[in-house]
Amino acid sequence: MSVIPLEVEKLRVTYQGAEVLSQIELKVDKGDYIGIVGPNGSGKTTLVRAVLGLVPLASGRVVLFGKDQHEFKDWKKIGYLPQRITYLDQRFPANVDEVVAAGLIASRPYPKKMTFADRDRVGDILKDLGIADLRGRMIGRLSGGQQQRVLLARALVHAPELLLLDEPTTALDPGTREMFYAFLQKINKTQKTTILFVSHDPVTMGKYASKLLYLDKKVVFFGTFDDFCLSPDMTRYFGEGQHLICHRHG
Amino acid sequence: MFTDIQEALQFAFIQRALIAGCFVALCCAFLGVFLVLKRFALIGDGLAHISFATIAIGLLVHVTPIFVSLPLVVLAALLILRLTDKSLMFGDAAIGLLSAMGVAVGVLIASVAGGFNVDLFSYLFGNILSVSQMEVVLSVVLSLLIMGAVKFFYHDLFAVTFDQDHAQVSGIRVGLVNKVLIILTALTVVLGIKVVGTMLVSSLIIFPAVSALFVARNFKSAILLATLFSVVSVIIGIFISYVWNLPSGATIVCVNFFIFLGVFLFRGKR
Repeated sequence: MSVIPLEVEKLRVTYQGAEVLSQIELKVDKGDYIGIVGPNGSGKTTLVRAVLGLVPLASGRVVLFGKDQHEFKDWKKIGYLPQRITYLDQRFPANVDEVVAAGLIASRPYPKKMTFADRDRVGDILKDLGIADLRGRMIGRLSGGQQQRVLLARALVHAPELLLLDEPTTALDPGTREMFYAFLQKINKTQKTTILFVSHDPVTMGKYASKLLYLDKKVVFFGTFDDFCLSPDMTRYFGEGQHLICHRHG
Repeated sequence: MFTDIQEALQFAFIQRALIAGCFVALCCAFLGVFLVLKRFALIGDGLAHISFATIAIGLLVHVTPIFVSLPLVVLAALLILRLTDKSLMFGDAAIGLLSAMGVAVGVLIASVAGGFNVDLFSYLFGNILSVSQMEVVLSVVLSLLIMGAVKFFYHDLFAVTFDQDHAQVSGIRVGLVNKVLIILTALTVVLGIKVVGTMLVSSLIIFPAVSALFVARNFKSAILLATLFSVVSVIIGIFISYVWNLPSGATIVCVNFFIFLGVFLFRGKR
């Protein structure tokens, strides 16, 4: 029996005394593709960051691959693409290969070394994402969309089992976005990669994800799209919005 | 000029200055790139000011100042990191507070104890031409340790400098890596005091890194270029100061400035 990638129990997160997330309960099965949606300020990014230990929990528990978050050490099983690249200075002297390789080497034991096989792996993932031509280019000189794809390559290069993506398509043009969704669908189906995808767009999520997590500081809905579409509670909550999502799904 | 340089190379004090200076320059360049990119460039300046107090303590208790400075400056560096990490205050404010206290304590000790003002103030601007055999050995050994540590933690330092959150999520012990960086910086600053003095040591960390960042095309080349600029500035600075009888520390800093200017103009023309 495979280990459950992620369980969240009674999670509560506060920021300067205000409750940002309340009583979040979540069980993510292997191979799930979950679209996390909700209005601005609903706690989507905070949930992802709390799961990864980047923000402190006020109470509750996060279990990653059967281990409490504080005891979890097997970080190579996780891939993460943050929401915005605010830290990325145009003058930062790193090229695409160095940035992507960082995702491959980081979780290794000491002494950490870059091998020829690692270089090949970096080349492969860049090719898979259609950005092989960016090899050797400085990350700070790329467009927002190109940078986002490079950072996605960094998140994917070590073939993670659980992938957390925080609004990864905001800087992508429509063509690249479709290619990106198709790639995620492929690794979800063929490698059983579990995906948590934060988005502002429940309609697009309805096309690709297998489950929907609707957040508004608490869990409004979590389940399959079929359950969502048939739920009278959700009809009351969303009104016409529910039909829009359900119409696009399938 | 060439004859003067040949003549200079015959002197043991010039040989000692070149060896110690080049090793310290290597450390400064290695660490400088990480510190500048992490917006922590001024920590070298702060730690140098703190070392002014530790030198005064060393002179007061008649212990070779470098042996007092090494542990105390490392402790001060860890304190700055803790104040910043715990979000008790902004990083630059923490550096400012401790550096001001460092200078104040140094001046107070000198004033109260009396008798070693000249010695203490000679550390303000350093004098690499007076570096002793023991100081050369210490500089080489510590520099090799520092460079070894940077090589060992290179991938972690890169990941933490580029994206601290992602580094943490990748399993890197970010706190440990930051501590290593700050301890190595403290050791380097203490070693650099003899080369350019407490007032100018941060320039050895900042100038070569900033010059390299203008022209580097990847991270490794940034470190290599910073190393090149740093070592070249120390060698040229020592020779110029010998030939024209100028203060060595200030001369090294000025050479660094001209390298920076050259790189800046070269970049503008590309």
